[in-house]
Amino acid sequence: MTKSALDIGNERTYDGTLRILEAQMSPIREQFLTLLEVEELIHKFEEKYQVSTTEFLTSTELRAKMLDDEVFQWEAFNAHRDELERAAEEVRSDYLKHLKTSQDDSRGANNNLALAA
Amino acid sequence: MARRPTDYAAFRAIVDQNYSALTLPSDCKESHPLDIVRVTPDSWHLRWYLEFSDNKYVRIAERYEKFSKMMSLSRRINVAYHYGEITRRGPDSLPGHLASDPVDMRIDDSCGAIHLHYNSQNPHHPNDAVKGLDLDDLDMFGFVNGIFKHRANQKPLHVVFGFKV
Repeated sequence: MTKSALDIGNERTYDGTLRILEAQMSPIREQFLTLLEVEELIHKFEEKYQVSTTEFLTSTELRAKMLDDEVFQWEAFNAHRDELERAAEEVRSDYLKHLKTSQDDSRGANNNLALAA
Repeated sequence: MARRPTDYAAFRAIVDQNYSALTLPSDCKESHPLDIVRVTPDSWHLRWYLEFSDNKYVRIAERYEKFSKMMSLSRRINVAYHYGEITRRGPDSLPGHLASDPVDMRIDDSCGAIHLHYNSQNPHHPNDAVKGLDLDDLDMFGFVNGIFKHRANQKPLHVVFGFKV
């Protein structure tokens, strides 16, 4: 018999019925994933089903054959990848903007120094 | 929670409060604890599985994404609240569901707008066809507590949740 999740932490009596010892709740888990990790998870789905994420998103036939949780996770990781890329681009463009401003400021300061000389 | 815009701190405070207030019935076990995956402050998803000793289970899944052009605000983009019999298991040994599998009650937005499945996969009951319950307003703890209540008092789910289809 396959050990089900209900077996864990409980015990089976001599006749095989499950005796619930206690119903415990685990602490909420929270994990942060990087872009690399998200891409790896997406890649695993693509390998498993031998289709690209674009094909997965557009194929209703494929999605109908997949377990609901796998569809949910694949969609979630794909959306998370988009969001991570958007956030990275935002940071990059803010940095470049800041860099440009500092260069402009230092150029202005240099001009002032030249004028003072 | 639900469809309202939220930031992660407010979302997490509600989740923590409700989660710690929840008491699992003695025939129930978390087969996958409430698990939140975050990638940015505004983008996260969660999964949660509860199994009962009579081969039924609850699956909760939600995804939140940044509310476009709003600072530090996110909104629920995807939802699935499922209660039904375990007919198969996925590669991670958690209960799996295909559209053809039996369902007692399921709220999801897999095909676009949020809708209800009640005692069968079809028909899909859109939100405005469900009288007495706003599917968008029901959060995961409302759903889970409703299922616990239904199992405890044996009243039909539509009575417990107060809806008519």
